[in-house]
Amino acid sequence: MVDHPFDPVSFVLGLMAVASGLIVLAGGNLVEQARILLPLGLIAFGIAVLVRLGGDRAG
Amino acid sequence: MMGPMNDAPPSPPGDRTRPGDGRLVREPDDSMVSGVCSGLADWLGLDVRLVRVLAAILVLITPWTLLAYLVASFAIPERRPDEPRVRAERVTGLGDAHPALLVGAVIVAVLLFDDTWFLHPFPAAVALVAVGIWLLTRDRPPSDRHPNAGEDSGTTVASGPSPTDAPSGTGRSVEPPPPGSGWSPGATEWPTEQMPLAPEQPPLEPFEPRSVLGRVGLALLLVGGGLVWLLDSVDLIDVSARTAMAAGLLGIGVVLIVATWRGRAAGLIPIGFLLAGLLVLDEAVDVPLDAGLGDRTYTIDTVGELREDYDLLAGDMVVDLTAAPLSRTRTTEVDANLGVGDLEVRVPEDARVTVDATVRAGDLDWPGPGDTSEDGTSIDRSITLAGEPGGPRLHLDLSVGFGTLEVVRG
Repeated sequence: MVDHPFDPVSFVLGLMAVASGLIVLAGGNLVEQARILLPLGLIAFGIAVLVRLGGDRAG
Repeated sequence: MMGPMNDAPPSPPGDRTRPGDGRLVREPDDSMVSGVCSGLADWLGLDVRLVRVLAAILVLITPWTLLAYLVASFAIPERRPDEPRVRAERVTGLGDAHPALLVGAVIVAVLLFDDTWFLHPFPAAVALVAVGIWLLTRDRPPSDRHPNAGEDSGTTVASGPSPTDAPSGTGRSVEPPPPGSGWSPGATEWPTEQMPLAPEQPPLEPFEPRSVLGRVGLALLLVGGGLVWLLDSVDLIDVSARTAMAAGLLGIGVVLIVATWRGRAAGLIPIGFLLAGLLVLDEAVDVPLDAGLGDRTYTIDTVGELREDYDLLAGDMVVDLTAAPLSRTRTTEVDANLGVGDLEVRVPEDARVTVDATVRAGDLDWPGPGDTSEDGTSIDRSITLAGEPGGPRLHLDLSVGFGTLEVVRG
């Protein structure tokens, strides 16, 4: 495996997957949590894409 | 919709990869519809006719194939005009086959031979573990190496031709020098004044070797999932499908976070979405994920055949109670839950029936005068169907996630 610059898309999707997995394992309900999880995820994903685009242009 | 099928030019010898190691694209030069089958055949090292025949058989078996084809047409990019067509080495044995091919074969088997021995948890779980171990242990393919990679440095610096060596790493023989070039057979060095200038070569792109992180993550997912399934099937542990999928999603998340700084694992992203979608579906439809797929018809003729619960994840289900020996002194309870599809419950003409019906999205129909149907989302209705005096009494608790729920007389 090779080190590479910070990949915000992997980071955000990874965090969302970890959060979703933990919610279900803790007995929670994804549909109920989606009201918070989805908007937060969308915002974070959008920011991540913008950060990566900025990084690509700078690089 | 059908395009002409051209004879695609043969790919050059260097443009072959191991099955599943190249880039999956739709093949525009050999397409019947949108080139999905042709691209899959190139990618998996199969004869395109075989892939098309299998696709046609699957279409006949289940319309889901058409939906999958449609999704693939949008999701898989078309080969660019300037991109060479790359065909994987032809698969000659099971050992050469890509895991996607094996998984596809299992899906076909599920559709063709539902409820046979090899679909029982034990062999299926062992197969998952085996595919995972195979992914972990198989050799890295030569295509992982950069085309300009040298034997030891990883890159080759452009230089003038050497009279003694073939170009490093290419395995090609050196062309004889043109007449008048100053080179004489047997010489070991160019005369200084006649040494040809190195041709202009484009700068090499930085070489980033393919990451094994995604493949290792997928392999661990398969091995872990298979082991849990295996232990659950022999009653050593008790893990629900929901818990196992949540753990898998958690693992994918961890691998993706690692891939934020080291390696790449983009291939796990669609698997993560799939698991998250299944978990949401599980919450939405009130049906266990292991409730089964396909069409089911239950015709109840004896007391022994009557069950309290009828569950199906996806498909059409008919529960026929018209000839069932129902009690006339107490109320018989029957639950039927369907995730996606059409559920039809037939009740006797003389029975007094109370129904608690839930439909997440779709239609609800029941017998009776007036408007006896409802459609839309979040349908939740209690219905009473009057019976004959002294007739059997029946209480139905019915739910459909997405589809049609119909209660009919006789």
